[in-house]
Amino acid sequence: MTSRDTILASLRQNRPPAPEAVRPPSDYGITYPDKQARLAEALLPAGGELIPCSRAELAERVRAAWPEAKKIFAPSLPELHNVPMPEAGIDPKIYDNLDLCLIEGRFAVAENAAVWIPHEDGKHRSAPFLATNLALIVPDGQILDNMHQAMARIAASPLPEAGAFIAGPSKTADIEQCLVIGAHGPCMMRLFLVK
Amino acid sequence: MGHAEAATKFNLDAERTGWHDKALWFVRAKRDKAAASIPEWEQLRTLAEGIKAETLNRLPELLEQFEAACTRNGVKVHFAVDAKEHNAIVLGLLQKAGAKKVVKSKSMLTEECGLNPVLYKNNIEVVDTDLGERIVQLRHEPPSHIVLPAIHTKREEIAELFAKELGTDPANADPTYLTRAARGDIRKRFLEADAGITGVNFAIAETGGIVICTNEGNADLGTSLPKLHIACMGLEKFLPKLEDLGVFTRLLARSATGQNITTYTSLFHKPRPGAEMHIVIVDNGRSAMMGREEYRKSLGCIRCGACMNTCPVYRRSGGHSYGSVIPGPIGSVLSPGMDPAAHSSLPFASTLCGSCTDVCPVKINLHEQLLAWRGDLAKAGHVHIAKRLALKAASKVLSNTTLYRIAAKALRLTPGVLMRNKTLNPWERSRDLPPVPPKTFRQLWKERKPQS
Repeated sequence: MTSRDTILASLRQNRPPAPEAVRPPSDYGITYPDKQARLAEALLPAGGELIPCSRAELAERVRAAWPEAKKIFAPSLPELHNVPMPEAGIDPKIYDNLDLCLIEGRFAVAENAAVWIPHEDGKHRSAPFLATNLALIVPDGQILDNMHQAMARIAASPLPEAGAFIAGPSKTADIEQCLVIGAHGPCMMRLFLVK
Repeated sequence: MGHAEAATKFNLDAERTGWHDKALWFVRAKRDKAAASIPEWEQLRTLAEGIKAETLNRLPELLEQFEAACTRNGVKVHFAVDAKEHNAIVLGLLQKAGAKKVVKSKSMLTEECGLNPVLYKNNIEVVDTDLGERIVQLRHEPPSHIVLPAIHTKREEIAELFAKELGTDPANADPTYLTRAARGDIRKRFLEADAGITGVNFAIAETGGIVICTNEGNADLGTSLPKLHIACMGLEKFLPKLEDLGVFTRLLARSATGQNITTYTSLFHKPRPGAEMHIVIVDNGRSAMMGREEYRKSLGCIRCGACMNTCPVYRRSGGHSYGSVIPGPIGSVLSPGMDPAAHSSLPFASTLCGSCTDVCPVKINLHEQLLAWRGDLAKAGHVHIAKRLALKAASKVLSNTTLYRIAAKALRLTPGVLMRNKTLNPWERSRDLPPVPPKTFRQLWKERKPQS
């Protein structure tokens, strides 16, 4: 018998009785009268900052936020992008030491400031994690209240090969519970909410 | 060495014990604040408990569903009956790919299986990339907490360690400085790695997806750079549907560290183009635990560590005193299930105050299970004869009115010098018994005038 079959047989033999199935109703979870205000509030303890702006002024605002940034990955803003474009077969390591990665998120979640970033084609999965600074872009109409809405939204569309909720810059408190912003990923993160 | 002896050693340094206690209480207080910010918090716990119960009942079918979905997604699923088979599978995959350098992001399962020593022996370099795990790896010790692996170490000790290992300034114990030094060192290792090993927080049966939660971004780097990703998981990690993540992502970080969500909650369904993804599903005693009615609920654990942070015994005895991969209340119910003889002291490392049960996001009845284990271990002969006899005597005295009165009188007549002797009465070692009141409750009751 294979290990797979051994495990399945053991699970079947030890199966507990069926409990009553519980699931939250479709409109479940906390909601916020002013989602944008809550998003800004939740982003602060996560170590990020919310910047509302118009699509037209986005490039300028990003530039102003990181005037020192030289190596910039921003496929959706060609006027800023100055590293090789992500394409099939590209070595993910070339994005090491990016000064800035700018990436479009699908939606943000007000309860916890998480932004959903689907990695559609795997070409630039590494960029948002290798960059020193991270700019996430979300349309201002795309703020959900909570994670129930977020997961329902993800489940309703074709699944990307991978994706990540990102809430703020990378961080750690593994040394005496002291919060340090900038562990292995970005040391600074700003969320641009575009009109 | 049992827990009590190890804890006694930990307690020799009173200053450090107090510091450890406070550090964890700080995390517990943050958890309370985060939980209180969600009006439906208690409902969420009930939902999580229910979804996990459903998962256990449907586990064989969920497993098959998961495997089929993974196959469709181009992900290879492996099954391991025990730790040894798990290690052999992982080693085999690494060897087949010719991998010599491996980056690993936090996985308590690979700790449980003892993977690292097996890889070292086969000349494979493995670097734990979570900062806390890296610290304990360099110190050649196991994690002392499942979420905060190095919570027992002080910044000065880390400064000394990094000075030796990474060439930092031994006099600089600034956490930001030390973290940046580790970042620089580990970044190089991410870029050079041939393979990334990760744990799994949740596996979605319906879609074949796995979810990994970190704050540091180490799992994302470890999976987006090398061409081989091996994810290792216990078979209890399943959730039936993608939507169930709504419930569990709301509970996990709030319970663990008081954050609203971890910085990264990453969902993996397919390998990157040109890369390989493997998932190793491990039983190692879990399916047997499922057959034990009074303990099976412990398989719902999502490894948040809230029960440790709140436990008065854990906070004052440190994770290493448990001598098991998972310490604290949850470790004390899981470990005896794996090896009763080796972990027989753990269910006694509790005051049965029930605080662990109160904070558990999936409502595991931890204190009840700890009590049940005490009985089972005594029945199986794993409890020391002195403790067994003392408890037997206590049960006789406490269940018999006459005996109880005689014993109480005898105790009242015992000279204070004897009662307060720190050798004869271990309770006196770190506390003072209050003075004995002149009259017993019974005497006071008798003297009370009958009420009109």
